[in-house]
Amino acid sequence: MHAAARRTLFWNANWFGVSRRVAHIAGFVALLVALMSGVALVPGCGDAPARGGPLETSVVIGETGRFPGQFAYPRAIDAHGSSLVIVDKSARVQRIDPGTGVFLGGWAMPESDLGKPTGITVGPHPFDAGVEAVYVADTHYHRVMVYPLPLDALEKTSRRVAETPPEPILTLGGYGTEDGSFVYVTDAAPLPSADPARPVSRIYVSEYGGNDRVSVFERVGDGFEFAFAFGTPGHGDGTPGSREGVMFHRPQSLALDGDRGELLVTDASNHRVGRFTLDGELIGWIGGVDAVGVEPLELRYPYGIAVLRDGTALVSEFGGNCVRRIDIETGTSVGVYGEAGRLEGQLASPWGIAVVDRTVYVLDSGNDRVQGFRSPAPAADLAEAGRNGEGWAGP
Amino acid sequence: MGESRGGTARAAWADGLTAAGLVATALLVLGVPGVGIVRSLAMLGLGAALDAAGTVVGPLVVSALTAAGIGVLAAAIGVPIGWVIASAGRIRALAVVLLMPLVLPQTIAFAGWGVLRSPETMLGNAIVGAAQDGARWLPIVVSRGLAVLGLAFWAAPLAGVVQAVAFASTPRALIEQGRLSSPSVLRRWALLMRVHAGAIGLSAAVVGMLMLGSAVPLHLSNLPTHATVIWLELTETSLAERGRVWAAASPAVLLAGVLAVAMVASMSHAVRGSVARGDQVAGGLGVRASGGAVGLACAAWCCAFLVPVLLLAVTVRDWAVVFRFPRFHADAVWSSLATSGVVGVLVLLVGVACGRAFGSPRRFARVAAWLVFGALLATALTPGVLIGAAMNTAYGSLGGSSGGSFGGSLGSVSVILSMLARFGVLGAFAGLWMAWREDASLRADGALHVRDTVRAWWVFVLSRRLLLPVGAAIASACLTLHEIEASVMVRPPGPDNLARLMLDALHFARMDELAAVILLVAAAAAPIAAAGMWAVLASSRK
Repeated sequence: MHAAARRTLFWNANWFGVSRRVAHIAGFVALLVALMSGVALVPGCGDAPARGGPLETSVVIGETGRFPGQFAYPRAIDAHGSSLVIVDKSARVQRIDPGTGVFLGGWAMPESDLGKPTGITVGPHPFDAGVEAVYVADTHYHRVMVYPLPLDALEKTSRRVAETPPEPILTLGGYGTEDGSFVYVTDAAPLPSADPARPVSRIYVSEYGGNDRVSVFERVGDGFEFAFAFGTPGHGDGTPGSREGVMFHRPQSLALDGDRGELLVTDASNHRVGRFTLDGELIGWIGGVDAVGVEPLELRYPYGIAVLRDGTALVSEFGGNCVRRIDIETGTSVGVYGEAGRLEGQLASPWGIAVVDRTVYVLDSGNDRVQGFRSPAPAADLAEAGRNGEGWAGP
Repeated sequence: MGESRGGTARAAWADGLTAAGLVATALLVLGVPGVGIVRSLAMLGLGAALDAAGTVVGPLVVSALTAAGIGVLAAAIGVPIGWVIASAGRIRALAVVLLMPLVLPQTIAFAGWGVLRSPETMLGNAIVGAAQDGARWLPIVVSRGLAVLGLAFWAAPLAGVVQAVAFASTPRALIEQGRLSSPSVLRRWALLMRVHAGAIGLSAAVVGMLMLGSAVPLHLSNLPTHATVIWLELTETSLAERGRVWAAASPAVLLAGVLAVAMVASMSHAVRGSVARGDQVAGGLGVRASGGAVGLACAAWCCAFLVPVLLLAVTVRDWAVVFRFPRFHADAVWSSLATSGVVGVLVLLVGVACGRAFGSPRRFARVAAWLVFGALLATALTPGVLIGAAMNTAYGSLGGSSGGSFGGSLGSVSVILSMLARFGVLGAFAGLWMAWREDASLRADGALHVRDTVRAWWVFVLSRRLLLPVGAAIASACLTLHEIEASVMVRPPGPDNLARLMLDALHFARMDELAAVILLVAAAAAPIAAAGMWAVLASSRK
């Protein structure tokens, strides 16, 4: 066929009712637009959203691995004197020197096939005054296990993580949705008491998994019994001054504010922090879904919290890849630290936060390490509030 | 004559550029991650590498058994689906819907049916109660069984497609004879299954090959397959020590390579023979699928997609969470859409280039096409977590960890390359099919000059078969939208994507958000996937 005739036939033919000329031109234009958009978007897609800028890191502890002193996606952290206690996704509880990263002792949880712990708290021994214990939220086994510190026996084998844990001094919970039982435990917070006969008067336990709430166990005789619970699964706010209508969606961490006599709860999937009285009555919420996208206060999956004595709290944002300092009274953001990334000073999915001396230690979970930076609080207010019974009037 | 010579010269240049582009693509998807892996292995040493490789015999056996089980189940479920795809009449349009789950997340069936064993349900309480009474194995077995069954339902349409190619060649006389000789439906089906036993076995093998990879439900249920074990090792090993992990992962990589080479050799031989004989692809069954076959196919689709989505929807406590999800996670949504768009365009280009090269009269172009087809097939058969981890290793080696816009751009390129490695084979296959389906008259030597000019190829080949690579591009984009395995390994921290949101929702039981992600992906992908598949099917019937 003559070339000119072929050209005429080609361009005049219809293709699904659209002229081929138009279809091909439109296709080329669409292809060009798509390519250019992709090229324009590609660099931007890799950029982290602006947060607080890199941390001014003073120390980096740990790296990926399963040897002592290494971590496999660490999930919870707390301070024990001048050391750190960390639990990770390999179900190891490790005590670490924060200055050097040296492994000081630890053990593997007794069971972990169904899942690993996601919460750890160091607090007063439930029965012995003047001694500390570690409260492990054994999430997928629906229980809180309390172990003695400071791991004297295990520190003799400080070259390795002990395969068997010490004998627990207390076990709370068991699977269920009724009072005193748990589905997936996330954290436990012991309430110190000034009475040496009762070093711990209450234990608060948070859980999720369709039974999202905070349960309270009180010291009765030689043990602890369920007293009350507050919260139901959902996204509602509840009524200030009451436990009624309070809802949680994965309450991940608990923190006791000794100066105010309050309990703070990181309501992670509702993107907020709740303030409650020690009897579980709502005081107010900080953040929330309506604050998302509205600076300066935007909490994206707040997981860890540490209360400072200057009336502020440090919150590690799992989704925001940063640490946010909030004013507890006013509910405003007074500082953001860190940004997303893998370099020193950057964070990836931080799960927890703890304060030792003048240093804040952030559990940089996605990078399998802990990063320390200088506490933003004034020197006189460095310590975490409410530790070891200091300043507590008790319930 | 002068115009023909000029056109031929231009066509030669076009073939040369196409071949160069295809070779560059093969080098990118194989070479970039390969360099990082080779460096890690070199640092490890041969003895240590062999030791590490020897430690995964157990997981390899588990992988083989699991893949075989899923393959057999998928093949069985896929029989009625294949019959509907191959049938005549308007019922064939149902094939578009039946194939849809293939481009949607693998985890839909696992997550949806898993709702029935949630802690607050009767079944969930019974399982945990039994575990606490001593049957600690029960929750684990239930979880793993659910993962296997969910994947079988997801892969059943793929098995159906493989079977449909054979079903379409069933002689009408055989079907009529079956109806006359036996009133029993089951006996007629048994006869047809015997006739097509090879195709059904092949479909099980194809699905089994895919399931040797790192399917997310197997990871979530902690089934100790080779890919799951390697996934865990990768997350718990620093970059400096990954040589040992790569050595342990080598059986999967080697198997993917061997399978790719074998399939390329087999397919090239088959295509050459078919072209030489002037074969025409079967146009489909001469009869309509029965109501029973259609019913079974629809039931399989419901189990794979509809019922799980409804179960997830029922679990939603607050629909406000679902509706505000796109706003709340706008950065993740846009990031995923942008990545999908770029990957779709790249796959389209691969498909068009392969279509040109496979149909070229020049040997070097055809060799380049087979080379990239083999490379993309090898990377597609390699577990996704290995692809992502390899790209991540290369990303780190090339200075991606330096941060800033360079690091960010490199991270995004790593993600896109990973997706191209995983799904680019769809474009290559579309190009092969496009070239294979050229009208026989155009292959005759007398018409060589018509095909040999770029314009003529565009008019007589590409414009008639463009919907094939377009359909492959759309399918690739849909799969990229929710691909988890490579994404979680390669994507740097920062803006989320839908895949990471979905994995977090699965891990942390954020059921409202999981429902939101799945509904969003299904709502976005379903009409696009349906349009794309319809286009592919319509084009392949011409």
